[in-house]
Amino acid sequence: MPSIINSDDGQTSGSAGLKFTSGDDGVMKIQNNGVDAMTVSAAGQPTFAAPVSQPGAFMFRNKIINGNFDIWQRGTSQTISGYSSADRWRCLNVGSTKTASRQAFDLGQTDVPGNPKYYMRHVVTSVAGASNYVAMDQKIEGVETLSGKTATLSFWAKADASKNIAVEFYQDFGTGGSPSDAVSGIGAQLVALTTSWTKYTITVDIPSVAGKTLGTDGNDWVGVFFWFDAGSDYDDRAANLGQQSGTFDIAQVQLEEGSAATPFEQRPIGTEENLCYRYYYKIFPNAVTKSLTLMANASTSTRGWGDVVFPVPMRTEPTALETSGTPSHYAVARVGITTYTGTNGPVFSTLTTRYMSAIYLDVASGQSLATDQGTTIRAINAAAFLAWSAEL
Amino acid sequence: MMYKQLPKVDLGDPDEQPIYARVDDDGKIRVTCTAKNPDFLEWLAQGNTPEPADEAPE
Repeated sequence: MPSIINSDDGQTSGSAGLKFTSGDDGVMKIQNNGVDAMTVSAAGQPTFAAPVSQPGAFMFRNKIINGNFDIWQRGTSQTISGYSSADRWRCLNVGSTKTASRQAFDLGQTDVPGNPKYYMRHVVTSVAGASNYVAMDQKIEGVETLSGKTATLSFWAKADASKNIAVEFYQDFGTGGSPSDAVSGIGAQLVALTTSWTKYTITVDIPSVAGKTLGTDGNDWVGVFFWFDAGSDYDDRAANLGQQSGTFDIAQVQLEEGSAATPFEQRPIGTEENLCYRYYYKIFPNAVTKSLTLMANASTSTRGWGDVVFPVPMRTEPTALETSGTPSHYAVARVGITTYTGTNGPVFSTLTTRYMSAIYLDVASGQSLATDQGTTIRAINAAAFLAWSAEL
Repeated sequence: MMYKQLPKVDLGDPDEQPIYARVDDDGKIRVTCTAKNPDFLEWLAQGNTPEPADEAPE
């Protein structure tokens, strides 16, 4: 016989209240008015009688993409300000300098649970100045995200000595038209790091966006900022952090609805990659065969056109194509016959959509390309790449 | 770093939008973009003006 906890309203049984029945088979039931809602087997396996409704409780509860720092399409180190290393993470600096880089956990380490492979390191050199700063943020698509909700940010962190960093939440209503002013300094607070990996949890009430006006460009967002160095112009946003140099390590960032931090959500790596591709997509040639081949056709005797279909629709129509910057890394090839090296790099085309990008590559005149001839656009150097951004 | 407009490619669209090349300080073109690109717009907002496209040879 199972043990039972029954919440009874008394309408049928005649006696209301919380009722307990002690059993001896190791099974436990939770009931409403004598009807099973949940059964926990003797082995500890819970079974629910109806679909579970608990927003944000299971998959995709983490609003942060690449919170585990697994995806680094752009590169594994950056000194410039902006998007240049870990996907979805913007590493910012003005005045002060920094190197943001991918660092690997030792295999099998247990300091940070879940066997994460990488973490983000910021080595900050502070330069005094009211407007100088070093920070890292992630823009979460849609300013309505967590609007009017209690949210919890959790992350693991350490520093080269006991030092503070600051955390801030931010609502941006986008551009175009007459959007409401951004709301900054939400939940701004200091976090005291030590030299050991420690999990930090911050609970914040995200303001409601009711009554606000979105911009017309569809680029509104909610942000999570980590401040490492902040001149006095940013006292309000960075909780009076002030300026400092140092080394700051961050891993397993999670932002979720609710007032408690759950264990870091381990999404499949392929899922996380596809989430990143919505905002940035980069393709490389094989380093050995240099094969990065796009089916193309010659629109003239000196120009090949090719298409790249994105693996997932991008957030918005990309507005730029990134390449290696060296024209000779690319070529137009007549199928099976001749390869003509580019005279410029591949060029972005306005034919690009959220779903695919059209590019063209020019080659020198005097080649034996013919209009409408089937060709390919190829990489002929391992350093070649093509990339598109639809970041916020 | 500066931006330079590229010659139109005749897509058969009379409203074809111009494409700009970002010419980095080392002379390399690593980015080509439309006038809607956020980085290009930020560069314009700083008071910069892109160089016009080269004229096509006669």
